[in-house]
Amino acid sequence: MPRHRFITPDEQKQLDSILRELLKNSDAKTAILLDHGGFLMSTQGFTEHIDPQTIAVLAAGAFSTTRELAKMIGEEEFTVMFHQGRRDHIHLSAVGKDALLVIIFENTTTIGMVRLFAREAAKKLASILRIINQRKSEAPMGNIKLQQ
Amino acid sequence: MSTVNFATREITCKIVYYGPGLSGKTTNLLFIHKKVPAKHRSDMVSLATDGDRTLFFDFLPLVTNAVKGFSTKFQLYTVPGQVFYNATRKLVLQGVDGIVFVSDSAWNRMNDNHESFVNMKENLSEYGLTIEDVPYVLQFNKRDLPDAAPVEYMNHLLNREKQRVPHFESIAIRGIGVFETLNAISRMVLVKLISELSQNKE
Ligand SMILES: Nc1nc2c(ncn2[C@@H]2O[C@H](COP(=O)(O)OP(=O)(O)OP(=O)(O)O)[C@@H](O)[C@H]2O)c(=O)[nH]1
Ligand SMILES: [Mg+2]
Repeated sequence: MPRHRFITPDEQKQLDSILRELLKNSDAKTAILLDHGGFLMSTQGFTEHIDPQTIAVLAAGAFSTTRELAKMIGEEEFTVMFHQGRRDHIHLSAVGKDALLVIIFENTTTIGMVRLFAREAAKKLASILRIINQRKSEAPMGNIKLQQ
Repeated sequence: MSTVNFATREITCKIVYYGPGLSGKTTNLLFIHKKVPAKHRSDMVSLATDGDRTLFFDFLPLVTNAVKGFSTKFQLYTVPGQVFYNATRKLVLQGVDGIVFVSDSAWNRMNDNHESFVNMKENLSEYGLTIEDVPYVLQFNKRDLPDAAPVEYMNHLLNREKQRVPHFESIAIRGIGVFETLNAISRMVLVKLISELSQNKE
């Protein structure tokens, strides 16, 4: 883990567009990319009446809780979590080693579709995140100064 | 771990309020939430038991303009102080950039304060961190109690690492000392971030 993480405008664009493509293909409503600490990296799709940051923090909490549970019973990790509601459902899955993907979808699509395209997106996202996470702090930092 | 996003011009840092059960961690966040104008914060999330004890964490995001040309977000978390919640306490520390250690000034809580401090160092070590790696301040809360321990004593008990750190006396239920503490830790976190970045440039 690097001490700090830098995301360039170009990387942000790529993350955003992978999530948009995922939504288009799977017909899901909202996609949120976050890290294990609940830090929000991208939100796409329908976000009215929901607060993506809060969802990210709660999802990270839920995921780390199940990960600890998995360890306790000798499982490596549960990589997918699914919460089924009456109309809205949440699919939570691992992206690489330190990120998570939350997908909110309605009955207009199926869990199978969501899972399929989530897996596909996760691979692409993971390769971009790897670049971000391997970057040393030599980013174009010139002008970061405290406000007086 | 701070994140600097050059697309959204955002810097995000995580600050954790640590300390023994009932020391006033949640009370700090509640006061901040009450006082900060709505446009600079979102809602506070509290995962608590029916009796208001923190079960997993409290979460309060703040937005400031502390850094030129960036919007600087501080994500404030509290841990559950009760001893048997250590598994979740550890999870909350993941990716921490700064810590406020909230201690209880009551004489009969000195042991708990000390134990919690030791526990914090143990949990940091699980992430490969030592107390020297993470900026932190001490808050001596509940100064209104008639049997509050002297500040010198609490410093002697808790402020004994190689690097002595700032301490703040507070009465969190009345908001006294709450923002002084928050301002100090957020400044320390940003100063450290900026100095690490400029070192790396050379
Ligand atoms: N007298 C006094 N009471 C305080 C002060 N700050 C907080 N309290 C009270 O102490 C109790 C515990 O406060 P919390 O903020 O819930 O404590 P906590 O540290 O979050 O506790 P856990 O969630 O169990 O870890 C509450 O009844 C508060 O009203 C203070 O400055 N003085
Ligand atoms: Mg609490």
